[in-house]
Formats: sequence, structure tokens, C-alpha cells
Amino acid sequence: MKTPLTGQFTPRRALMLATACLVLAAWGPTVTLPLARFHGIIVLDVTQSMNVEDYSADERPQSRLDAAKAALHEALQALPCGSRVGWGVFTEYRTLVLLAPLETCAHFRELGSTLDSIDGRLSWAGRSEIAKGIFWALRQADVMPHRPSIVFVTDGHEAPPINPRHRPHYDGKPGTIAGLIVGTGGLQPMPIPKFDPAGRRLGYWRADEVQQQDTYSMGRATSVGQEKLVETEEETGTADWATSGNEHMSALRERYLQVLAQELKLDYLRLDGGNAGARSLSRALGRSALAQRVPTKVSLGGPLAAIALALLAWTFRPAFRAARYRGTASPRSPGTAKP
Amino acid sequence: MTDFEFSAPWLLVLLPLALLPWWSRRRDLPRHAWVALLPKDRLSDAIGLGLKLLATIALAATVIGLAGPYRGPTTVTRVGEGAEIAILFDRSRSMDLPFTNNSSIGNRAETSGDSKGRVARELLLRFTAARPFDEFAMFIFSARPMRALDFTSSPEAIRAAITANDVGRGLGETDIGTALEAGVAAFESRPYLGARVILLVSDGGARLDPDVRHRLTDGLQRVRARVYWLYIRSVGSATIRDSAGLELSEAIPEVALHRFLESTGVPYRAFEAEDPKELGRAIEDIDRLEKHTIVTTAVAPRRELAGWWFAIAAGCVGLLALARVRQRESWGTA
Repeated sequence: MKTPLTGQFTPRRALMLATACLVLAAWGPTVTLPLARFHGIIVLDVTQSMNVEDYSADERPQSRLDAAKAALHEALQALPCGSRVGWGVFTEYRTLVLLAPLETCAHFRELGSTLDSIDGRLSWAGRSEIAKGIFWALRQADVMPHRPSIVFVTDGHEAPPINPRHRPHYDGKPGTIAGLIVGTGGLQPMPIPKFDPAGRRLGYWRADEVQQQDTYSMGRATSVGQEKLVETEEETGTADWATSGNEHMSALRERYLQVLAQELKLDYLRLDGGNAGARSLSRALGRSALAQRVPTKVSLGGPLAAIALALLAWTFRPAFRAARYRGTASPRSPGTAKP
Repeated sequence: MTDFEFSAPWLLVLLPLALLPWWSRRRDLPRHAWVALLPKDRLSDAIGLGLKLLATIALAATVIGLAGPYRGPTTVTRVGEGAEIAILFDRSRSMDLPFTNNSSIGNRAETSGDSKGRVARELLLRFTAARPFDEFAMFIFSARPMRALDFTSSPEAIRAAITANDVGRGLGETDIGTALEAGVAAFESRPYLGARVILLVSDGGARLDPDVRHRLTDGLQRVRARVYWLYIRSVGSATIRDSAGLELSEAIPEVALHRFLESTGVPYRAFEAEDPKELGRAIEDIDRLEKHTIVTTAVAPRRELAGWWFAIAAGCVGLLALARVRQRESWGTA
């Protein structure tokens, strides 16, 4: 077939080709291609610091957990069909998988309603040992079918505080499970709301109600004076570990999470508020590191119809030259009355 | 066309392309010195207008098709034999232990490899797969109940909720009271469709507070749910079978729970299983008991309608092509 450039491509041929394309498109052929689609378990930190309201939605304060859930709802919608999402929750020192990965388009309602029901009341214990929770999630992913990637949504607030020199150790091989740590929260320390088991609010945690020091620095019950369980020098500035004396306040421990991400070969993303945050989260989830190639049916109807549309538009393209010619023959100027 | 939507509505900005035919001039027509010399021909005018209309329809239909029109997802009503079943699945650590039969007490080597939890999950998978008309919801509980899945009849979703429990150890504590309350609450906001079942799968019982007992009795009667307790009995645990001839004391948590559930006034049955076979029989029993007509609404997947629009466009463009084949190339040849 000749291209339009050679002049042999007549409108008649274009129309016949367009007809063929449209007939094919109407018939709806599909091809199955191995496309990269997100396949992972998204773990939400449901510990108390996630109730800190340092996001806002509709000009009202929004908790970290609610902000993360809103962004995840958006992401769920934005992920292309064929993506598989599972949900998990983190408290204490472990991750619990609630729902194994499910295809997002066919199970949008189910995935959405399970996400809705994730809240702070699921938390079964008061501790929040985040590093261990991430390790746990990675280890679980390693034994699950298809080895899903792990997305861990947290603010990095370890409770009780950890000692930078005596941090939990990951016994797996970093990098075997791909993952993303999503840091939530603001950088300004904020008071942590306190709730009773029924979810009623009881004010905020006070300084004397939480463990301010890591266990290693506290010493034993029998320790004398300032004697510590282990000798540590004061680490300053390398990462935002514990904020001695300020553990009842919570901010996003971003540098800590970045250190963890680096050590475990995971990606890191800070969750911004509002739509921008939701969009960047969707983009991050779409990245190929978290994806697996799955045979995905791709419809050829769209591309075929697009070709047909281009052919039709070419066939019926406006005659610019003729218009210009007409323009000089009967000049239209303002004020010229038309009959 | 109640809920007619587009998956790529922004492509509709291309719709003005449909006006192109009214703008363009045919380049492949025989040339005339002066158009005004030609006699006026109403038939030709009408045909010209018709062809332009066809072209407009073709362009518009193609653009609409490209924007991905679809209908739904619509809900379809299904009538079948089944029930709405809320599964309360014990995630406490003891469920990770293997079944043991009495003869193997003290002989660890003889215990079968599969944990109680794993066997229970496998049977639940079979049970749910065999009941396509049921709506299942799944709660896992330890110290707190967690909703893993809201009521759905999607087999994949149910499987995902059950198999999620394959990984990781169980949790420390168990609170059956709040779990049962969560099961009641699951029905609370739903219209009554048919048989409602709370299926408690646990390896232990609990003595409930009078408060909780009161709330549960009320709740169970209000939502009209039947309760089945699949009691996976471990070695050394109490039996709740009256036939055992033993004095059943309410001091035993399992007996206390059993007595309480009997007293709620809603239909209740306990199935005690000591080994995988018994557990399988219990599940078959429940399957037999729960054959009631249920009217459920299933979500039919959305229907893509692009094909119809492309077909319309194909028809129009086909006619246009045909018209051009029939048309005179020039005045010279016929």
C-alpha cells in the first residue's frame, strides 16, 4: 500500500481501510501480553501514633491512618487492571496479612471495604516495633505464593524507643523481596491521641505515660544510679532515633525510615497530603520494582479504532487552501453587511 | 441506559472531529469550470447531505467507542440455595498446633504435621467453593476481631481471605466475645436476604461477661442469625459433648460458651472435632443444614459497549467507501 505522502493513498482506499479497522475493532480481538502489574501486600501501621492528626482533608484535621487510607483508595482506582493488591496490618512487632493479593478490577469493592475496616481498633497490642514489623512482612512475603512485594505504610515511630546501637537485625537477604516504605506524618512533633478500646477519645498521651528511653539504656531493676544495661555513647544527629523525653509526641521519623529502606533495599516515599500525595503514591505503586509480569489481556479494539479515526480525519480534512482562495476572492471585513 | 459511563471520558474532547465533513471539500471530484453552471439537482444535494451525515456519525461513533463506554457494574438478583455466612476464624497461637489424638499423648513424634488452623482452612476452602450461592464474610480474631472480607460471593476473594491466614504465627490472646459481637454487627446494617449464619471456628471457649452475654443475646435475636460453633478440640481440652456422660462444669470455658450459646434463643449447634475427619464431617453437616432459599444480589461485571459503537462506525464508513466506489471518477469515463 502506498503512503499518503506519495499521493496514491486516495480517500477511497483510506475509507476501505478504516472500514476494515472498525470491523476488527467491533469484533474485539485481544492479545495476551506479559505486562508488569503491581503485585503486593500493602501493610498499614495501625499503632497509636498513626492517629496523630497532621494531615488535613476538607480543611479539617485528618489522621495519618486516614490520610494513608484515602490515598490508597485513590491508588486502588488508579492501578491498571491485572494489578493484585493484598492488605495487612502492623502492630506490636508483627505484620498480619488480612487478605492475600486479589486482582484489583474484579475485586474493587472487596478490596475497598476491607481497607475501610482497617483502623486503630484493630491494634491488638500497645507496642510498635516497626523494624521488626517490616522484617516480619518481608519474611511472610518470602513464603507466600508468587512472592508479593511489600508496601509498608508507617510513621517510623518506634515504641518503646530503640537504641541505635542495638537495633533488631534482619536475618533474611535484603533485596529478595521488593518493597516500598511509605512515610506518613509531618515533621513537626504532635501529641498522640489516646483512645479507649471502644474507640472513644481520651485526650492525649502525656510525657509520664509512655516509655521515654530505650530498654537498653534503662538498666535493670537492680541497676545502681545511672548504670545502663549496655554502654552506649550518645548518638547525635545521624538519624532521628529516639527523642529522649519527647516520645509522647510523634513526628514522621523520616531519616530512620530511610536508613531502614536503604538497609533492606526498599524504596522510600513520603506521603504528602491531599491529591498530590495520592497521585505520587499511585505512581510509586506502578513502578516496575513492585510489579510482576502477568499475562494480561490487552484489547486491540482501541488501537484499531484509533487508526480508523486517523484515516477518517485525514479523509475529511478541511480544505485549507480552498478556504484561503475563497478568502481573497470575497474579502470579509468588519462592517461588510452580508446579504 | 441507567448507568452509562466512560472509562476514558477525556477522549470525548475529540468529538468535534465529527464536524470535519462539513468543513472539508471533496478533492477527488470531477472538476468543473464553474460550479454555478451545473444544474441544480435535489437528489444530488440530498445524497451529498446524507454522505456528510454518515461521515459525521462514523467519526462520532468512533470517538465515543474510543472513550470506552460501558454499562454497570450492574447488580443482578440471584435466587439459589444458600446463606449469608460470617466466618469467625480463631487466629490464636494454639491454632498453629497440630491435631493430636488421645493415643498420642506424650508421644510428640506421632502428631500429624498439619496444624489445626491449616486443616480448618483447607476444609473451609472446600466448603466455600462448594456453595456458590452463599455470601461469605470473614473475620479473624485474637484479642480483637478484624474484618478481612465483607460479604461477597466472589470465590477468589473468599479464597484470598482464607489463605491469608496461611502465613505467620497466630496471635497471643483470644477474645471470643468481641468476635461474636463483630459477627452480629456484620449483619446489623444489611437487609435481610435469607438465612444468616455465624460460623465460629475456634479451638477454645470463653466465659463471657454478663454484659457481653446480654448484648450478644439481644444482637443475635435481632439479626436472626443461626450460630454454628466448630470446636476444634485439642488434647487435654474439655469436651462439650453431653453424651460423654461426664459432669459438664461451667467452670470450663468451652462448656460455658456452649451453654451460653444454647441459651441465646437462636438456633445453635456445636460441632466438636478432634481430628481432620471429624472436622470434615462437621462441615458437611453444616452444608446439609444450610439449604435455604436465598435471594442475593451479585455484581455483574461491567459491560463494555465500545464494540457496538465501532460496529455503527464500521457500517457508516463501509457505506461511504461504497459510495465512492460507485462515484464517477471524471467526466471522461463512465
